[in-house]
Amino acid sequence: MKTSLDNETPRPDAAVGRLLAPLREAPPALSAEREAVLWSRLQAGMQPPARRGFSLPGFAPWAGLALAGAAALAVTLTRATPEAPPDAPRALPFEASPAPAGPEFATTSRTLPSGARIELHDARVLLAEALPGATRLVVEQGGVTSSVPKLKTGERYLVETPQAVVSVHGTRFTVTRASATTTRVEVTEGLVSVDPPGWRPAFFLRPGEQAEVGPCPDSPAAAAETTADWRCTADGLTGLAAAAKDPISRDNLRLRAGRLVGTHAPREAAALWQALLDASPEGIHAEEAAYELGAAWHAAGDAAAARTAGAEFRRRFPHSPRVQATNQF
Amino acid sequence: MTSTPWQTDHPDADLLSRLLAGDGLAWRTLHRDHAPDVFRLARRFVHSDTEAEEVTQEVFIAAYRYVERFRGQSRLKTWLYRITVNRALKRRRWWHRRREAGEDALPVQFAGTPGPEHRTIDRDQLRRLSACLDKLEVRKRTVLVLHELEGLDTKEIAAVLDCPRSTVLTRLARARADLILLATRAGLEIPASTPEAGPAEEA
Repeated sequence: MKTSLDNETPRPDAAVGRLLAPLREAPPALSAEREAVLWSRLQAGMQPPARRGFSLPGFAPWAGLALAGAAALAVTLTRATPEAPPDAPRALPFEASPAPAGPEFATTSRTLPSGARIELHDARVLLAEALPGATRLVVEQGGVTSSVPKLKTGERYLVETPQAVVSVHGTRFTVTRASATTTRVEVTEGLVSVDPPGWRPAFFLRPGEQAEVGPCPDSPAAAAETTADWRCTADGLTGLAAAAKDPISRDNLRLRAGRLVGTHAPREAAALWQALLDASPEGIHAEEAAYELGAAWHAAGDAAAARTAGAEFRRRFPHSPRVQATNQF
Repeated sequence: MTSTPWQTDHPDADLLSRLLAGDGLAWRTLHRDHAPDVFRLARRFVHSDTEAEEVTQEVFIAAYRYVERFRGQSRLKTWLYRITVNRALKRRRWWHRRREAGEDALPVQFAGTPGPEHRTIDRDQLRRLSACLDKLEVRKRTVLVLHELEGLDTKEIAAVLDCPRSTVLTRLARARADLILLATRAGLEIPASTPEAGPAEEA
């Protein structure tokens, strides 16, 4: 249909180009940190179909607590979103209706639908997900202390800032936006995992421990320099071998190794998987570590090491469903 | 094994075959390489960074679900852009319906996020410019955004929107004319036409 506006300007293409230049030159940008946060959420939401038989890199144990079949519901403490967006698929947890921005919490404590109790310290917090078995808080400013009842299988409780995603393993802890670029996590009871986006390692904190997470390093190389002592902040252990002997640290190593593969640092990942294997050759993660060791060498382009690792895997785990995949190494 | 259209000559053949094989690293690569583009495009249509992030997530979840249906007739990026436009426009319509129902106010924000290097940009002008874009009929606006702001040529836009190139050219011409008029009415200064302004115009 021809509009009345047509042909009023003979040749507007160049003029429009110049008119829109400010918008073109200042595009909306997704930072590397936010990209990593989105990826972490996707990992929690994308349960791989069994027929594909793969694990997403850096797939954290708690990511398995994602809400199978539960429609995510974006609500605030002051009002619920009336309807989901059109055609929003319901099966995965992060296809939520848009979360209205920034409700202010006027009071200092609340009980959430999950039964968790939170205390707010000059905080602005977005309750981005609130179901009986799933809670996701986004701390925009200030601090929030959570007292979380023991979680059942399939339940989860996450607190997010731009610097970290903190997930609960039944506990009491405080997450504080210490500054625009720093987040402090303190654990009073139980166990939490802290998962900074980007290149840095995920780690666990136990009662009495605290960690401060700063800006993300700009490159995997910068992060790789910290690989050897990455775990020191949480439990004082130094070196891969020492860390691999500690059950908690072993899980941290596993998370870290997966993350390194996902961030193009496969050689560092191979070192971590090897440390895990050496520390616990018959452990519950041995099969995974043996396979991922080969995959990491394969990703690093070291065909000889990858083939050796693949052969060793087939020898040790001949009935593993991953055997066929190792032939690609 | 059945043959797929991209196995031999598709520019993204390697990545596609790894995605289909369920290679987790390939999915990570896809997300890292394309999430910023998807976010930027989504942000051109929705009204907040939060919404654009939600759209970005929806796009990659949809890609994960439906990658087996991808027929290899376009670049992967073009396919992701098509999903992005569809999801963003649906979300936008949802907001408009809420506004019409009096349930919520639709915030008018400029889609650019000028950093310190762009402090000289007149924020009010950006806001008015964005409001003018907002008033364009949605199909014209979509074409204009893809061409002028995202730098896609008309063939790529035709692939993203799944329509003939001639349709894209028509909508683009009308969108430009409409925007000039709307900007004039809004009191924005229309820059003089110069050949070098804007993305290159293909024949």
